[in-house]
Amino acid sequence: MNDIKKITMLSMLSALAIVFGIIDNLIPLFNGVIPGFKIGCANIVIIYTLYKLNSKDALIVSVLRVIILAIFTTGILDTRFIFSISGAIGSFLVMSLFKKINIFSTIGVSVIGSVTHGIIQILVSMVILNQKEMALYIPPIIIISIISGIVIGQLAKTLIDIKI
Amino acid sequence: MNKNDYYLITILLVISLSFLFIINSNKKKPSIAQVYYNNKIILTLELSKDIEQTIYGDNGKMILEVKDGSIRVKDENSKYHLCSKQGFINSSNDMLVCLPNKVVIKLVDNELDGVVR
Repeated sequence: MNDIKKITMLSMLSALAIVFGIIDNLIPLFNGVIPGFKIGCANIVIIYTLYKLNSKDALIVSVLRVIILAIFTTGILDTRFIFSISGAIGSFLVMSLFKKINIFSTIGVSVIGSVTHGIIQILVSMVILNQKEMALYIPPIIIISIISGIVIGQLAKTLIDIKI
Repeated sequence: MNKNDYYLITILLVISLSFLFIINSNKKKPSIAQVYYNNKIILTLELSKDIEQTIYGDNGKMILEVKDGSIRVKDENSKYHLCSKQGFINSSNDMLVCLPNKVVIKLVDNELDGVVR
């Protein structure tokens, strides 16, 4: 892939990830069970990048998405930015690790990514909000993350299988 | 999905479901709601008395409503209104979290319990 093609591809993927991020914010599914839970549609793009391009590009898309979304919503000096960026980087690290080890399919990688994302955000909130009881949310968030992870993983797989 | 995916999902489900079971069997009936702003308790409310209380978060006015031993954020000012959409909570395992307002509402058994924790 030459440079221009790559830059175009990465910016398109980042734009797509941002749009999915906005959609995530608009769908408060399971919000009654876990405050602030999101489905994680943006992860479709991250997984797609991880498999179609490489880890480095997936990290770029993921971090760009979080920063640009934060600039337009909360600002990057807000505590919510710490939540998003730690979740994004944490789940990226785990997903790229398991993609390299290659024992799971896209769905397994997606599930472990979304579970990690949820757990990291709860750990961060335990520190930032200073509420140890937040740990009680870890079991339910794992269960819901498994469901959303399967759906997102399957969608990503469908996209990855398309030959361009 | 391959075999390892099924193993992963099964293991995660078993672990989380067993923890969920333990948590739910230790559930107690809370009697007091503690309202935190910026990690400090600014208000405690008796859950036995139905009341509407106004507090101030980072985005201004918030209205809390206590009704039949449950509490909810009735009205607040934020982009996605996550904590008011969460509705009533009445278990010590639940929390109302309003990040934009830096407000957290927690249910505890009694005053002492909350301090010790």
